[in-house]
Amino acid sequence: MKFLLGYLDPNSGSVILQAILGLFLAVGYFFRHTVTGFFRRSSKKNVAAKKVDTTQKTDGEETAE
Amino acid sequence: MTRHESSFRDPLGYIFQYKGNIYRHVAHEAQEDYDLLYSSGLYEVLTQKGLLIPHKEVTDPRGTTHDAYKVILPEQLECITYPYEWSFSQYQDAAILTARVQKIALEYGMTLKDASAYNVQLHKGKLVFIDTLSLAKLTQSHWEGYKQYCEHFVVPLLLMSTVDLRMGLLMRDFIDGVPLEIATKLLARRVKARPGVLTHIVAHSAAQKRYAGNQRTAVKHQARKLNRQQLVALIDSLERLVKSLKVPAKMSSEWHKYYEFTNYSDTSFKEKQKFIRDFAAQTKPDAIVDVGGNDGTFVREAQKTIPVLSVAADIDPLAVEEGYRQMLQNKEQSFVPLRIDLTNPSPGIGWANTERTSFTDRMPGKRRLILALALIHHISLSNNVPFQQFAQYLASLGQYLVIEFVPKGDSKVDILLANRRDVFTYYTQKDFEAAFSEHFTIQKSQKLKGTKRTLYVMKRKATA
Repeated sequence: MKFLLGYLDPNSGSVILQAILGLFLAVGYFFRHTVTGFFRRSSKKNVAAKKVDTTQKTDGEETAE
Repeated sequence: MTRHESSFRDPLGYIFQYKGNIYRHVAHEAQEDYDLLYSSGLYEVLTQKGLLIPHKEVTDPRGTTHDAYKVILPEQLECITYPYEWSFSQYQDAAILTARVQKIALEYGMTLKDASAYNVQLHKGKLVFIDTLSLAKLTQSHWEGYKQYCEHFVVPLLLMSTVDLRMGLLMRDFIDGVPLEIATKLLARRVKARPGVLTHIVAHSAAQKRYAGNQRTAVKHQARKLNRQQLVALIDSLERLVKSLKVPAKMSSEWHKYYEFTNYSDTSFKEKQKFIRDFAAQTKPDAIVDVGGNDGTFVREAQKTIPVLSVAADIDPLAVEEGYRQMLQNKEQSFVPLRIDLTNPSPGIGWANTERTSFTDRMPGKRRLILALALIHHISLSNNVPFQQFAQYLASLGQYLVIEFVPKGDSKVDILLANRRDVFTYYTQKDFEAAFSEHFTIQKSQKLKGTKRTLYVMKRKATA
């Protein structure tokens, strides 16, 4: 009987699961792409800033020479 | 004009063949979706990124009797391959491509209405999505292709990665994807406990069972519409699961890295390479098919003189995996690696056995060169296929043949016969030549230095 129902089934289980998963996955997605993304961007900025500092220092030293 | 046998699942269009070209018929009912594909800018984005096969709109070559909204001529594919013939990485890349297309489509207010693995093909060294009419306006509150994506991509890849690479062959029996229920029975507990597997496979399968035929509950839940961000999150989760899968690290095979452990000397290996290069240059084929091609080493040799589309078919999934990786690394545009067991090549499957055609019926080109190197002992001794039948099959594949005869006394043949009674009295070079001469004209033969093996060049007889 289950087999027959499976054959006729318009993917109800799939639709229901998506409705449930949608909420949880969206929260995870938000954290991964927004919150983590924010920290990644700021850490990149810090690295870039440090690089600029180093370059400026080197430039300065060269000028001093 | 012939409507393609595989093109009946979508009522909004179909592909047909006309004078050797493949066209796509867009029905009037597909007008809104088709127009949106252009007006939204999605077609341009996907084709520019190389994700969707480009096409041009043409006048219906069949005349006006077929009442199409549009007829399009896509860039023509040289070789059609099926998921059960792909290496793990090719399959994984096809899954990632489909997820990417769906993510981008969502940004443009469109969606993939299905997620068939057959919609992805290898074209000029890259995977590309070929079913333009799969892209439709986003109207549903859920992704219609979710279950299909799981069964066409996630389940086969999970089974290949955690059970055995050959599990991809299940797609041959389950033409519309390996059922979730089967996956839950085959996967190990520790695999099923992984969050992505638990949600997309285990819970999915349970939900399917629980709500099968329960339309009222489905309608109730459908009322909870997934917004675009939730749909993107769903695809993102599937994509991360697919990307997390790897070729089993401990897996090794008889054929993987075969050429590093052969009994050829460097000289005879180079001699064999030169022989193939020279013959390929001489015959000028429009396609080359190596039916025991391993990672494609010898087919690539032939391509050095004739850079035509070349297929390396092999029984070993790791060798095919290696071939695919090399193809990507070298940015090769005319190389097709396929997992094919020559003693049981892909048959015609699906509706009327014609929906997905056999390996033999999908040979690329018209003037083919077939390579069958160091293969005959596996076919005739391990699988007991008589020389006559092997010759007949090879003659059905192509006009030209380079074949290597491996006689008794060769170390590899000795291994094959080590634990069995040698009943193969016919397995002699003389019988081999006689059997192949029925279908081919032997044009040249050359003994390989330092071995007992002989290379033959043959041309199919006109009557064969």
